[in-house]
Amino acid sequence: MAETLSPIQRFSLFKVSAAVFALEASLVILILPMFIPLQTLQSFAPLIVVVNITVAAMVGWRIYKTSSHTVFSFDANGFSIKRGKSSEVSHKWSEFSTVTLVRNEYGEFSVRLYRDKESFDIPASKLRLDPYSFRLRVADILKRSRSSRS
Amino acid sequence: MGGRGRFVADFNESFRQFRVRGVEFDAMIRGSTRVKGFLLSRVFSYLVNPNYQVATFILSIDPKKVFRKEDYGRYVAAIKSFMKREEIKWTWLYITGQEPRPEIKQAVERTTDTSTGVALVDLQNGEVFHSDSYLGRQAARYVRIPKR
Repeated sequence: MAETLSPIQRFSLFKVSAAVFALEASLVILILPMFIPLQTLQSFAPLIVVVNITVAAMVGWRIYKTSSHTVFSFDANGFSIKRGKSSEVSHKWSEFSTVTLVRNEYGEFSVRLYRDKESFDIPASKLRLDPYSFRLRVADILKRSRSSRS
Repeated sequence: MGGRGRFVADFNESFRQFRVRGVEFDAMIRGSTRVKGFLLSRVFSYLVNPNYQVATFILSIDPKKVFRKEDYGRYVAAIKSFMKREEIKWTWLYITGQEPRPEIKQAVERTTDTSTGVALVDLQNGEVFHSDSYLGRQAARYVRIPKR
């Protein structure tokens, strides 16, 4: 039976929303004073902040869903992974021979699968999987798929 | 880095049951001596650390099998071949076992290769034997044997 994982990557969502908020805030600070007197603006400041936060959250969510949100599903035969709006990538476990655990400079772990010199990474930390136990699980699946082939 | 860890290298990939040239290590981790952290760490590392590819091999001697000097030689030769193929500058080899044979202890202590540090850990007696090189002495220093 296939398992599907698609957790919200809160930090990615926060980063995108914060970037949108910073952009909005810059525009408000630079452009609005040209058209609206500063005193009037100050009286509306809390409302402007609330609107900016709301818009940043909505736009951030949209950008996150189209660019970063990852959906991973797998079963005993293979797996598929889809990131944002990009097309789904599917592989069979039997295509791979080696599994390793990789850590990037941000401390995030991925499970790396090797096929000859090529490799494919499953972003375990982003999928909120325990990378150590997931690596062992994948190694076990690869072992079984190898033994069923031979 | 937490606990009593020491910075040796930025290891970023780990392999289990790693096979090379017909021998199998229990684990192998590889990385670089240069840290890939955030801005300040990167700048500091760029200025201070050499950019060497490094690896650590771990081998646990099966107590049911006899581990001879020739076996040790095969493992070291496999490491040298791997280093050449992957352009790795330094490696460490940790061998753990229960009361390893004296010939293995001697073989380890007589290893003088400057690019490979070997540490043999006798888990039974809590002793560490190391190869006769800077990396070997360093390898022995990194070992912590839990008290029984």
